[in-house]
Amino acid sequence: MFRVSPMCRVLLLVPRADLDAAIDEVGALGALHLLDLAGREDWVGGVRASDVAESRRERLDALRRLEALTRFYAAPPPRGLEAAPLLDVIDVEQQLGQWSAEMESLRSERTQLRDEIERLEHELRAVRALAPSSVNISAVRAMRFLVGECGWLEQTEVGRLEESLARIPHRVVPLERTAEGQLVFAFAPSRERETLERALRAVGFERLELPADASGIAGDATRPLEAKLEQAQAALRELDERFERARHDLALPLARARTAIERSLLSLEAQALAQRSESISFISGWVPRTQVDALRAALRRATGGRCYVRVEEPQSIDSVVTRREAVPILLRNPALFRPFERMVGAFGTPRWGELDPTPLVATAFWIMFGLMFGDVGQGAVVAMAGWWIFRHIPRYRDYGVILMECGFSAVAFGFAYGSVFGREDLLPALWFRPLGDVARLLRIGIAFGLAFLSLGLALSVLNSILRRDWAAAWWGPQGLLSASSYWIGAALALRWLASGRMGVRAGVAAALLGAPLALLWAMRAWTELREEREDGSGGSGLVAAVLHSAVELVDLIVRSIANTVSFVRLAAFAVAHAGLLVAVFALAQTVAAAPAGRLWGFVVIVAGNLVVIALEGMIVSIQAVRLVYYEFFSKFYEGSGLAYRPLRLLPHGASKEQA
Amino acid sequence: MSSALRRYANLNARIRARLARLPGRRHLETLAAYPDEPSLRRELAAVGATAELDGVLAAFDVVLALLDGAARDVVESYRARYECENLKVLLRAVELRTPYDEVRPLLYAVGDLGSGDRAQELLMTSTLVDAVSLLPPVPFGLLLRRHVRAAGAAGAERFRLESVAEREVYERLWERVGRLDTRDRESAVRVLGTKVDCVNLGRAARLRVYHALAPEEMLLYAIRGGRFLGSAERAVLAEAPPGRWSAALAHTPYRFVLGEAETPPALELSLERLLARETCRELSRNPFCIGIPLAYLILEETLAADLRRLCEGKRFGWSESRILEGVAIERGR
Repeated sequence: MFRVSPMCRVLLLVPRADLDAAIDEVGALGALHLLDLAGREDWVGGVRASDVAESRRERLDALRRLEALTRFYAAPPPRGLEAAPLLDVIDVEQQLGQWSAEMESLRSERTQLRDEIERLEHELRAVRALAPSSVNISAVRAMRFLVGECGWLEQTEVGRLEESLARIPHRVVPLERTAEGQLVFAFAPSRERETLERALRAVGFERLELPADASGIAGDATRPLEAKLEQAQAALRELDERFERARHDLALPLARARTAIERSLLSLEAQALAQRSESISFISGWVPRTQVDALRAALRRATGGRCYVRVEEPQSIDSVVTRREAVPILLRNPALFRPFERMVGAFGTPRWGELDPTPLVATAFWIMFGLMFGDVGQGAVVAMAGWWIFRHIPRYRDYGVILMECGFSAVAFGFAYGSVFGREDLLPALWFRPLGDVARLLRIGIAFGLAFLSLGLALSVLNSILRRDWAAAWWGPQGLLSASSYWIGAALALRWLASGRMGVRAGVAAALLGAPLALLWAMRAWTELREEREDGSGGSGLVAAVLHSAVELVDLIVRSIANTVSFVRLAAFAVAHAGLLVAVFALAQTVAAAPAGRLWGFVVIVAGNLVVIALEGMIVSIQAVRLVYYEFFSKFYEGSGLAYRPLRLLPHGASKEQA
Repeated sequence: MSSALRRYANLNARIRARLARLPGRRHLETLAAYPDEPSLRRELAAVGATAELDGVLAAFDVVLALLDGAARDVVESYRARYECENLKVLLRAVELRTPYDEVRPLLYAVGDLGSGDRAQELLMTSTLVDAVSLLPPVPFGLLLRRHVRAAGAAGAERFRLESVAEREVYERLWERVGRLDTRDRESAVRVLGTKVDCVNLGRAARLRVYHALAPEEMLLYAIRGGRFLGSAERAVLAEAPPGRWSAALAHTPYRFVLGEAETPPALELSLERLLARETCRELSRNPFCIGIPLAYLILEETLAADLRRLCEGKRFGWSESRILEGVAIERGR
């Protein structure tokens, strides 16, 4: 707890021929955080980067083709993927060609059939439209001196068409009125064909295409067309079935192919980070100390024992000690605290040598949540919601645990406040009731803030000592001098708040408080002057350094006060929570006077509690996160470390890679 | 006093107040003498005039707020022309692949197409057919889709789609005019009938000269409605060459205009001046009918177009006299 997993830097030497196998084994172990070797190891002069660009292009192309196939087939989730053996990526590339050809054939067959069906439907629509008028298609086709066009136009446009054709001999014969508009036959002499066509186009005439092979009375032509349409539709149905079968049959092979390509891509990424000589490949990375032996064994398996592993402790690496190289951080916390690693990680990963604040963050979060949301019933609901998420949504299991823990904290504080779903008459308050003693709640908030910030300052000093940064430990902005003045000030303020007196004379108090501050001021000014001298900038001299450090000091004091006062929100939200529930019960009482009032009152209480749980739960969580991030972390935590992301080649499913 | 009279009296008072603030010919001449476009725009802003599109729409809002029933329908239908203008701008932009940012200032904030979302959606398309397929069914979607289907493999030509949409708007307006009571209808025919005639004449000239349409097509794109141009006159416009229009329409007030203008833009400007004169006459007629607001709206539109011409002329560095040649307002302070 508090310390991260110890890491070692390793350099792996394997025969070039075994590089693939070695990366597969290392990836399967999932313990090596890879490093880019280029330019890092001075002693390996003459080595070259592995050239994987061509292979990578091929894999990416294969992945694109695979994605096109997956989209086309809309493949359902595959079954039995976990148990299926791994595919070789070379086989996958061969199979992709075959699948793509099948897909193209299916696609083109479908398109042809659909076009055919659309054409037949259109022709059938035309013939059906003409059927009631018993139009003789053969006669229309046989016209030599007349041109006739059949189609739809808007009912209101018939007159306009007539008017536009007034100059030429013509006849517009309205037939049926259908959903498409007015069906008409327009005739004109053959020599006026162009005039007729121009007019029909301008009037918005939708031409009816008669089937090329239709003849006789329009009604007689429907049956053969219907038969053809039925045949085409049956063929399309059969094709759809084939497609559906292919969709299901290909789901597993497609998923396996994806895994194989993704694994291969990851392996290529890893190879790109390696270097090679004529016969040897070099891989470097960080591995948890506990995994070194497993890594060695994995390499031996992959190379038949022809490998070399060099292990270095971070303390012995010059680039690490001088902070030119970051050590990846693997947090190591008990299951109760582990979900809070996400919260810490969202702010930043601890640096190597820095304390892991996760346990403190978790504990503080529980306390703050409980203080602001103390209620036995509502806490139980939150805990049950967490349990449900934990059991049923594996992706959000961590959030389920956090909810359960916060729920239990709320239950504990609920007993302390004597509140069950806002009712304060069912349980005795083991501590006090928030609305009954708001001043006490405010004092508790401030006291918690003082303790929490003091802890932050202590951790800041401890981190500086661990880093052997003595200047920061003593007179850094969050160093011992700054911390001691904060503690002295806090003690005097608490005493004064509690009893109205500071307990010492004003002069003594000023001396107690002023001494560390004056020393801090002097040391900050001296540090600035020294740094200016060291970097040869000359700087702006003593007066400016003194002024700078004075401004810093004022800023430090103001921020310390603001950080502490910020914890008043713990009390404010606890009061708001209790106040909201009082409002819910007042509303329920008002409603109770109406007809069926008891039922409505019950509904109001249930709905009110649900709203309070959702709304307050969210607000309280946000406030707790805010206090941790802005007040607590600002005292000691930088979060500028490098997260540990090992190369992980999973057999199937989601492969994770080092970013 | 009946409610209609009271409404028109109220509207008339508002319109008179607004008319008093509109720049007249003399003011336009002063504006044309400004050295450059920025100084001209500053002056326009100082006197509360605007060459922008929303100025005219604001005038419509004033009039619409005080009207109801059939009279309101007419004014709303008249405003619907701006939806057609939006459609024309967007179809051109689709054809020219113009980005939305350049099109936005040209769109009137009216109707579906005036809203940014719909316009942007339309500009995502690359062909007129695709753009038309995205139009809302009314007022133009169904109509234009039918014409696109009718065009078939030949493909939809933009000017045909624009002509059909514009024809639809004016014919709908004319149909609304027919629903007015006698007094309102008479005055609306005087104002809007002249407007429809002018539009028909201008369109006929453009379709004949620029697109070389055949008579039957001209007839199909002509607007059915208007004050002096009936089916016989429309047939003349469709069949006779423009040079003979003046003689053929000698019984109409357009004969002088048709005789003088040599090109379609010149004819349109002359028609605009004629319309401006007609609207000014209408403003001195019966104040208790729809003619007053319609005349006022047309005057606002003419003035906005004139101000735009002034700004554009200054932008291109034209001489004062050349700018004033293109101004439609001929009289007034």
